[in-house]
Amino acid sequence: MTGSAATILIVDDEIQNRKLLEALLRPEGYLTLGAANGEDALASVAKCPPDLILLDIMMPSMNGYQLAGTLKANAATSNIPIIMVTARVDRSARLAGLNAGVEEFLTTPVDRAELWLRVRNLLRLKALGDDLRKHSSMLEQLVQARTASLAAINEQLRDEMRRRQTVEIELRLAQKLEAVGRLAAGISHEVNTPIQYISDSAHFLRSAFAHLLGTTASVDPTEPALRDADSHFLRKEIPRSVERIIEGTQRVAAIVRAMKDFSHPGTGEKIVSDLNRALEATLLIAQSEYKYVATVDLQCGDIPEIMCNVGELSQVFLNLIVNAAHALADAGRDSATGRIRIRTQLVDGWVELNFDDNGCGIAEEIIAKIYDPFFTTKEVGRGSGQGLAIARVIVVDKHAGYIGVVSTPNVGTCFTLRLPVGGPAAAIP
Amino acid sequence: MKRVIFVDDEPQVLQGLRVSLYSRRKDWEMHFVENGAKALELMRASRFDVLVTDLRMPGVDGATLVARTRTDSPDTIRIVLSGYANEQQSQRLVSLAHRYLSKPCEPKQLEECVDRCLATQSLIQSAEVRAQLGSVTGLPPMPATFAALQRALADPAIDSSKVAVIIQKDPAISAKVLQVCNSAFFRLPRRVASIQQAVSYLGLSTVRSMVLSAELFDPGNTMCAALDLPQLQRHALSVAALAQSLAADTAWAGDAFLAGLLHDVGLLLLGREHKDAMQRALEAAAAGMPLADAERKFTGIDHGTAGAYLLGLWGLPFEVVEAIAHHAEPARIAQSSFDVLSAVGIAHALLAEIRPAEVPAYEASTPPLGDEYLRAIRYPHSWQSLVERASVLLGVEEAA
Repeated sequence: MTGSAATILIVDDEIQNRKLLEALLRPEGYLTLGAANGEDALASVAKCPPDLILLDIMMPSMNGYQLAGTLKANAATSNIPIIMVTARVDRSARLAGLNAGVEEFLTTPVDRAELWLRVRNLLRLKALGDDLRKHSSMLEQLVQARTASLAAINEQLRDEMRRRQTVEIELRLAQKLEAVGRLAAGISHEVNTPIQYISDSAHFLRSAFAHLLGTTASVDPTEPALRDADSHFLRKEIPRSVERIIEGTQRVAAIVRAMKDFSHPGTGEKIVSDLNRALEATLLIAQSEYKYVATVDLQCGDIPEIMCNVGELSQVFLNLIVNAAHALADAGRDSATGRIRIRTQLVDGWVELNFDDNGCGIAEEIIAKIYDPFFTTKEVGRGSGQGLAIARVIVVDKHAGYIGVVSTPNVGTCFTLRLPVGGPAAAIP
Repeated sequence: MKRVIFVDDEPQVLQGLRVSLYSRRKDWEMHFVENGAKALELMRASRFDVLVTDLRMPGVDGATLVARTRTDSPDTIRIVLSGYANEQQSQRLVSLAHRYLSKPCEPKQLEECVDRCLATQSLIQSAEVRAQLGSVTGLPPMPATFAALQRALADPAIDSSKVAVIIQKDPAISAKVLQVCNSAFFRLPRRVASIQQAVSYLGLSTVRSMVLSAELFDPGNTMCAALDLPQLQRHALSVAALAQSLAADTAWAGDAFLAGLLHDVGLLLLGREHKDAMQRALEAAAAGMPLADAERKFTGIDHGTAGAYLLGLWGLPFEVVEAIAHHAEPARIAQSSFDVLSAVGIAHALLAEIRPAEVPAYEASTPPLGDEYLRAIRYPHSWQSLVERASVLLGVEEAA
């Protein structure tokens, strides 16, 4: 035994036997404890676990087998080696002892040398077992700690993946929009040139035909050649055809202009402005759009003035308010049941604006497309499909801000804008 | 008959223009050419009143053509008609071309544009004007600080601190600009204490206009007695603020402000150059003769034309020059859209209607505007609503 002296519990109902064993062990440097019966032994073990137990078999109430079984069944004490000290040398007694879990047998009268050797061996074994357990529990703790840190890293990686996915989606959208913008600029030039001469020619036809009609007004329409040509029909339909061409070119021109606006939405300069005031002004302008479908609740927070192009941002506000009004109309709301709540507040160095309505909401399958240029769910004449695309360009590209939407069909939609307090320059990392 | 040359590398466009403008064949002698080189050749051989050109052409492109015309034949009106919308390119052209039209452009719009340019051009290039304003060398040059700003602004990377450095070189001008910035018109939430702040709050173009105005309304000017410099300056600022608020949210709001500030620059010029004649003209106008008639009678030129002539020489945007030439009677110019001229004209007339007490006696005969004019320019609001809006803006200034 190394280190501090080992403690040995001697359990025997005969005090002479205990004394004898003590006398044999003490000179070897062991500390000894004594117990006269099973109950005392259990109490002693619970109070001060010994390194070894010498156990008599024949004891009143709880015999040696029962005590050994109890100790070996308990995880806290099962590691304490037990040497059964007995006069019986028969096979059944040994088997019963081994069954109860004891490690060794010693027959009385005890041979001093044999006692020492067995005690020393068992103590050594126990020490090794204890070391093993200590190490394996340390290992277990290490493994647990490592597993926990791996799990944390894993979670971080998952977060990073999610973040990258979002950035990638935004990047793809930005690239797509940029490509559309370049395409729009190129197409508009190519399309505008033919529109110019189609429209010029149509205008000429209009005035020339009117002129011609004037000069031929006196010709008799029943003249055979004119009758064959169905001149009445021609007189009516030629001007109408020309009007159709003019109207059509005007429409194409308007679409191309919208595309151009999308690729270059204005070039005004940025000045320090109060967005609360801009919102108030926009609401005044948009009043006719929403007054029959909603009441507006404007909650102006204490926000600083920011460097921005307030004209462009007002256009974004107007688009969002008009969209909300249309969504409210589609949901059958009126001024009593419809609500547009607009809130401004300062959040972590950003001015945040929420446009919240209880309109028809945006269907899940189209929400990814709402910023696509020319994407629209509105019938012809109600929207060009440019509003949110331009809003995105103005907020994200020109003001280094953020635009996001949360929507539940039949419950409502909330758009959130965030703009950097220090102006676009402050947001560029 | 005016001579107009059209240049486009697409023959179909030229054919389209030729037929659609056929009704003007009696007013205009029209030439159609397919490339810049041929156009230069024709313009060298004889003088043209108007050049209408595409931008993107092989060989001599539109920008080169416009620039060459500007040097070789400065009186020729230069109009760009392009389907190409590149901002930087059009920025550069703003100073080179009188007008920039986008394809597709309806024949009426093109006709109106040419007519208007010709009207203003013939007014300020007339023999009488040249005779009256005499040798170009006698006219005041573009004021120094404004000229320095114009040069600096050609640099796209200019920022408010560099602008401030230029303006602050002249402390008197800086002080005047700050004084105007802090007037109630601009409703700034706090006192602006530096030029740099002024630029951040009001924008570069507004501050630049204020610099020009401060330089022009220099109290060192000695003028005829009927002109009161502080009053002129106050009036100019009111018109400018009104015109800008009418034009709010348009791309040309800055030009409207500038034109408003400068609309009476001709009065300063004539009051200084023709002191005695102008004094008599203003007295006659105060006695009931229309101001422009009186000015023409005594000085040979009216102040709108004189101011436009001067600003045209300085190379200010043609829209501003035109607005100054016709500010007192915008209805004289046939127009079908709301623009710098109508914004300044409306602002001028609104002020006369709302503040008759402040109108100097010599301007009392300025003809009023009303719903008829607003309908003609397709302005979507009524005169009465404009009067109310303007009263609010002016009321704010009064209250302060």
